[in-house]
Amino acid sequence: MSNVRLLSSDNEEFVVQKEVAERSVLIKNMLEDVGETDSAIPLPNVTAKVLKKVIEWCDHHSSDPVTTDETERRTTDIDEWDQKFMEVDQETLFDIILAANYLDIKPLLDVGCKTVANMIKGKTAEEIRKIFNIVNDFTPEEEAQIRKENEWAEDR
Amino acid sequence: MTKFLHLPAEIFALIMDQVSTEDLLACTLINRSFYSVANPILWRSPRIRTDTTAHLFLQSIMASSSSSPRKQVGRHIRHVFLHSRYWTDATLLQLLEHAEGLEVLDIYSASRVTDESLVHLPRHCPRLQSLYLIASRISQPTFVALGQHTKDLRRLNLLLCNHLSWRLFSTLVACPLEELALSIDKLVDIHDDDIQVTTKRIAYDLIRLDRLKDLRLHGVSRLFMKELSQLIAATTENSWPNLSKCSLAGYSGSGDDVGDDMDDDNSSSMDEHVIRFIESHRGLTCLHLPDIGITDTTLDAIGKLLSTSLLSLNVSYNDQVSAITLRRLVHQCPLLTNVSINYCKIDASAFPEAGSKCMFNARSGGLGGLGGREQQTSRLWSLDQDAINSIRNATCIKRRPCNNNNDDDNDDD
Repeated sequence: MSNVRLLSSDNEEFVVQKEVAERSVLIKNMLEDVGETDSAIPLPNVTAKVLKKVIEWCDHHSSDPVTTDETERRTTDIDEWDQKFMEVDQETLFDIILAANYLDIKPLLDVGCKTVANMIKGKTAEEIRKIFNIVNDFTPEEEAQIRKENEWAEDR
Repeated sequence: MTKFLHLPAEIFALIMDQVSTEDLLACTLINRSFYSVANPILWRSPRIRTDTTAHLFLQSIMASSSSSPRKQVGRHIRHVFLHSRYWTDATLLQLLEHAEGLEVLDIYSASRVTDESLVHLPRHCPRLQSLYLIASRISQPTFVALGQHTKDLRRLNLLLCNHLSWRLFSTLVACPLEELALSIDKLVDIHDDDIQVTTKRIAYDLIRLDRLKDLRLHGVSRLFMKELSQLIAATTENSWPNLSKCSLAGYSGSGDDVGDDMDDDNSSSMDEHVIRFIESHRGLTCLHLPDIGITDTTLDAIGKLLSTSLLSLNVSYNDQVSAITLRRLVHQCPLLTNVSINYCKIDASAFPEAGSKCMFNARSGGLGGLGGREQQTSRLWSLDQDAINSIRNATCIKRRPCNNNNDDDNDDD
């Protein structure tokens, strides 16, 4: 099994099995374009700290079948390993999501988005603001206006 | 440091896709950024079930209609499900005027909706793809408008609509229809001088909708099946090459019976027509033939002709199909997962493999695989996956290992 060298934005090099690196559609396409190469692939949008996490995920999931069914992927629950994997601080969580998006690793992007969604579920607007440290920039009038606009959705 | 609000809008939207309506509602109130992502998603697929909700819903759309386009909530609507008697021509028209992005219109109780509003549908909602109008008063003028202007109409459900005309299909031939459901008997005027000519015409026009994947017809008569199957057999090209799901029901679902066959020619049987139809559609995965008057002859043919494709079969209300033939069919069709046999006069004792979930009026206990006397008088309404597996395994146990069928015992209570 051949290896691939990846270079993080802060110039740290990672040597990864080709099969693991190819969980990233971006890297897979790059490898197909360049063919066999000894030079490291630069990933200017991903820091070493995040890349390490992403590689850990890809390694664990390297033999997963590729699910092309969008709805199936979106509706399945996060498995136990992924839940543990995502137990990180918020900053890292969002960085992993951004990296998964950049590297085009759809299943990891899904897991990240589901993790954030789970943090929102069942909470009030005020509770969500607290969790993510968000400032309310609405005027009381605007807030009342939105409540009125969406009153139909409360009735269920 | 990356914060929630630094995520690009498309990722934001992916997260919002994962939460419920209640959560979306909370998200619209967090701050402006959240509102701009959550509100369009909240408005994308509204399900409006009561008169009160419908009134609030329409009021919001009207109130925002004079603001800047970005704030017009009606523009976000893609898929609307309406289930209340609030919807009349006047209210529906107001909605349609402000829902230019509408792709799916699904009105469950549409009895107060007529051509007066529907005829404007193509003009207001040119991106319409699916139209489900159960029991509406839709008729020819709307179909003419749809045929001319909705170039993307793929799904049409007109069950219980009683104002349809036999000209319906020829007006819709320009639409890429893939799914169609309606009561065919409503298209023929019983007082028509020449029912046979009209029926032939309907069958002819229907075949021209050559992209159909899913066809559900109620009120299928023997005359119609005869004309349809003859036309299909005579057509050199493959009619409906993509047809995968097909339901041909004898009952019309609209209260009145289809009545006696309008066909004088009693020498031909329903079996003959249905078999000829199936011969031309060997890829069917789903075949429903409730109350259509078939016998074991058709079941035998299904087992042979659809052995490599059939997943689901419904032969309910056909009292001339037998358990022996059905059992043979289960063996012939290895992909089959479900057979509906409601009111087939098939006694539960004929299929001891069937668990209580397959039985009509099953009482707890005593009806399972090893059950007592009671099962001999119970009616079966289906053979589910477990029952079908048991039937297959009973005779081919030596050839391959049993599927795990423990569920059978556990589910019996």
